[in-house]
Amino acid sequence: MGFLDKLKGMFGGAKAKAEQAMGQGNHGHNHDHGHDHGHDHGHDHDHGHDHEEAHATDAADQFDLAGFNPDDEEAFFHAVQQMESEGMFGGTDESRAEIMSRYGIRDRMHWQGVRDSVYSVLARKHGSIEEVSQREMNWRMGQMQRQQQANTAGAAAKGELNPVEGITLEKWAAMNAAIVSGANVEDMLKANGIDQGKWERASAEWNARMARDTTFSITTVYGNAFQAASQGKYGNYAREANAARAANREMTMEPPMTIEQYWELLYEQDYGSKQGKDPIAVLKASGLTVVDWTDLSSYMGYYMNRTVVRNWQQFNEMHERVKAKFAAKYPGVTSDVDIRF
Amino acid sequence: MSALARWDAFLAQIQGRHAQVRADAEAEGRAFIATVAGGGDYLPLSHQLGAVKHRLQDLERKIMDTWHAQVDDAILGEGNPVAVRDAACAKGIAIGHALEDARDEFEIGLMAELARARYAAAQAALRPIVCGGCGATYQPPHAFRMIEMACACGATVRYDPDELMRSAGAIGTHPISQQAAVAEWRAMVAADRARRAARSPAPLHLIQADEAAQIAYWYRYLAARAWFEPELGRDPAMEVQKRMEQWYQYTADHEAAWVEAGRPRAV
Repeated sequence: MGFLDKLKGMFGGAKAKAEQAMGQGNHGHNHDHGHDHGHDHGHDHDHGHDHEEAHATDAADQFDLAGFNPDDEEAFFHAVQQMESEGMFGGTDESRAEIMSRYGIRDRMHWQGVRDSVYSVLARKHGSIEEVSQREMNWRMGQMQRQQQANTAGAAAKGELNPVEGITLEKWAAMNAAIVSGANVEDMLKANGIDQGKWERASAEWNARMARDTTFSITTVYGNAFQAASQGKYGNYAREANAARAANREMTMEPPMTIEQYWELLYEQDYGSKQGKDPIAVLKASGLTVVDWTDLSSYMGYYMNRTVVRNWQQFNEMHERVKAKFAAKYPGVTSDVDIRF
Repeated sequence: MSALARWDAFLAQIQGRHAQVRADAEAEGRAFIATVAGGGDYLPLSHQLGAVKHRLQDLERKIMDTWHAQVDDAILGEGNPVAVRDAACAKGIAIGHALEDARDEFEIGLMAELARARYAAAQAALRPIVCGGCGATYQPPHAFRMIEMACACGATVRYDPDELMRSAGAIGTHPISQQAAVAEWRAMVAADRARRAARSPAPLHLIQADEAAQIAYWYRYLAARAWFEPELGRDPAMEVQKRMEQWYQYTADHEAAWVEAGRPRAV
């Protein structure tokens, strides 16, 4: 599943619900309503039960905000996440019971009606359900960012970020950035007063720490430090994206290209890979180095995260356009079309 | 021809094409390896394997894409019971998993073969190390990166592996370790699929089987990898525990049966 599909899955259901609710005003009676309850909301709870319950009562169709305050949307987003998701950030039986008690939710059907009612109010408040979905997405990214920051603090507390042979992770990352950019390794080591043996031992230890760091704390610090040292043409964009991501805020720099242009670069690489081309050569043909690509991807990745849900329809149209363009550009690349059911 | 028969024929075509693509790529890969065993740019092999991987993945995806787009409805449309439909679907899933495993092992196998060829060539080219202080000679140690040793005369003797030896390490670290742990890998993948197939909330025995399979894989894999990266052998239990942490935190701890059992971590 691609990035766009994932986003669509996460928020498609909310969009449908609120669009329905907005169209209905506060009356909320729509007998088709229950048929797609939860099916495309991208959450992990038992969708089948929702479907049956929707027929059992029309409680879900009643406009009711229960104890939710539309001006405290974060509390609502938190409740949605707890009520409808499992896993790392999702809910448990206990947390769901607590939320139901706190907001006066009677049962699962009541929750669905309340959820859709709050979405509809938020959609009115913000002008569209896409805007609400984007805000929810941003809130979730902030939550993930806080978790990542906690992971990094945990890794630091355990000594996993301590310097190795006097070489800090930031310094190691900066030196690797210079190497990738073409610096002479011997000259660089000499300038930093590091001999080859020490450099190799430090690199081995940092690599080992990264390999066992399944929370990606070290990788995150490394990535930020690598890009902080970037001299590439998109270095400032990457730094701005990293700072914005850490603060869960919008970026202040305008994108260096349109998303369509970026998407074309992605497709160029995908088709290059399918043809067994050297990815560095593919990048070079697009006027980019590996460092440029890494920096650009940091910026554009975050930029898309902050805009794609809001502009879902345009994204989807753009994606189809680029897909068709590249299918036409590389007609012989798709294989095995002869195998059919 | 019935939908079930067409589904079987479709799956057979996918399997046959998958095997053929792998066999062709393997033959091409082996021929290429022979030309770069003693040195030279091996990246064309990686790129070629990337292209083959894309094609194999497309074939694998085609199974369930076709199932959802055509087969499911076609089978039920012919009046078959749901159980027959489910069995046909399960067959497609099982074949997809088998092809995925074959693809993983095919890629690993070729890269391991290249690494072994390079290692053999690098071994043949090894020369004794001479101490700059006293002229004493030493046999080169087993290492893929620089090693400093103390000579009896007090000087520091350095073993600096040549490019060929370094590349043998760089190419072989993962594939050779992975090959050593392939039985454990298969068991781990099977246990993971079984737990996922049960869907959350999974029963405790499936969660624990998944856990045990992962631990067995990591011990075996890291033991093999320590041949390339000796620091991994210093504290295997810690290395395994670190790698399991994410699974405990993000998977097991969200399973009710696991939590109710008191989170019985094995490591």
